[in-house]
Amino acid sequence: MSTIQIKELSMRYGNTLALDNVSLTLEPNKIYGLLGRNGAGKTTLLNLLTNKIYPHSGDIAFDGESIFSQKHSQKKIYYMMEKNLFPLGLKIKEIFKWTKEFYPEFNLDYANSLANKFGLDVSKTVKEQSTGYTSIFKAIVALASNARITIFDEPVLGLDANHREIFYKELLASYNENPRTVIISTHLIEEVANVLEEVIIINAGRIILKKSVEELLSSAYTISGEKENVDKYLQGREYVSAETLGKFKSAIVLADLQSRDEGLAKKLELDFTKTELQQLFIGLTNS
Amino acid sequence: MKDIIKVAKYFLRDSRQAVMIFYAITIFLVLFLFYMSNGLNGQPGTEASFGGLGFGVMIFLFVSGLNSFKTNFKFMLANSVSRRDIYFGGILAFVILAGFMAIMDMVMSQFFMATSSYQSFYGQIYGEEKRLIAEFLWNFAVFLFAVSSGWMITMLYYKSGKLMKIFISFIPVIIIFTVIGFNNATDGKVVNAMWDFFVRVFGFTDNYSSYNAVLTFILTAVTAFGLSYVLVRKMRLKE
Repeated sequence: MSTIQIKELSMRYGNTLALDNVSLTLEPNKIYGLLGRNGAGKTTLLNLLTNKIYPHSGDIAFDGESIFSQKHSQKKIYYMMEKNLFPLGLKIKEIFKWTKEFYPEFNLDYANSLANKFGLDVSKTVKEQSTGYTSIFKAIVALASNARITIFDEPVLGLDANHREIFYKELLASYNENPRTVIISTHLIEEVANVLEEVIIINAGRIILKKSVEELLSSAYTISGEKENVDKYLQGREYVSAETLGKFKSAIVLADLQSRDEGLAKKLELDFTKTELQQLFIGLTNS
Repeated sequence: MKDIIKVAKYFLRDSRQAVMIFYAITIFLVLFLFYMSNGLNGQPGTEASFGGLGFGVMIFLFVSGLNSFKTNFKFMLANSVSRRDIYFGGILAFVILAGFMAIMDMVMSQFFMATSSYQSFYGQIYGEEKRLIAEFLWNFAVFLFAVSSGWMITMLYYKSGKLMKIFISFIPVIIIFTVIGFNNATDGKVVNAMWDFFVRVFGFTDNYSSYNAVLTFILTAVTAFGLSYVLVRKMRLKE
């Protein structure tokens, strides 16, 4: 099963409302992208989801049982945090060993083979790792944990392009072999777009959107051309993220691709293009 | 239950190196004092002795308690261990550690007493009578009290905000000035009453019973562990 239900969750830090009455259901065996600007509430939501902190109100139920109850076991969830929670003096191979103790499903052989692929020296301590390799070892532990729900918070922080590609490939390979719920929180939207099935966009502590990537991208299109003509086209239409550069203007129209007025666009000499996830995200979270 | 044992195993593994370094330094120090006291005792009119290494163990365990929370708590949360299991695992590790170090202290004391003019920490307070069980229990209780106090204090600091941390740091000063104030107002009755109380609870009465102290230290350790549970139960991760 592994269904997560978040009900009316609110969290405050002093006078700042980090999460505002968030309700959400996460279905099993899907790859979710949790997207939001800095300070939107992504990490707070993930910290609550994994019992690292406690909410001011609301509840999170995992397969119907509140995760805040004392008898609840968190062992079905593995959370790769952006911050390092591992003792700096421990060697990576010792971290693998201890993770195996606490997560019996942890695949030690797979972790070591991933370490080889990434060129990670497991006999070095945590404090000897660079920013990139710190992200790599944490991502390896998460991938090899075999937890029913695996959460990655900024998994590719500090990774070069080659390592990022290995990570995405391994994530998909691991998911195909062992389907589970994966939540990825990242700012590198364009890169992760092809990996995601569903997107959750959080802005100022509120969930503003939860849709499949396919559905989301087909529910918007970009129109561009001369400023006056674009303005004419946009009249009466819902749009986000209008950008003007000299006489040129482009805007993302929030409407089904099928509903675009090709006749009017041809008359006004406008071009339609497919909207990228990142552009749409910027448009939705800027307003 | 499984996680409690694993947590205890990790806590003990984490303190293993510090314990080994502590005993290496202790043995080096003892050998040095042993050599010095034997040398001095050879000179006419000179009588030299040394002892009380258990006091060092007590300080070591207090500092260990202080250092055993933050890093371990974070690592255990990274492994999704419940706060309840972290708590009971920690206690199990501390009981084992206090027991082990109590035995080590006794073994070392017996050896040094047989070979030199050494007095154990217990012997310095309650006399030289050979009461192995009483000495073990007293050592164990003192060590458990030391480590539990350190653990509780560090949890209190971790949980507190900046202002509360400052307030906690001033608590000993506040207590001292309050006692002095009340003592002056009552013509010394407060200090006398406190003295009587400590004499009883630590067994410094005519027959010098260390069992009173064992009970006192165990009860204090249990109280410290109890307060620790209240603190850790809903402890938030601080980044």
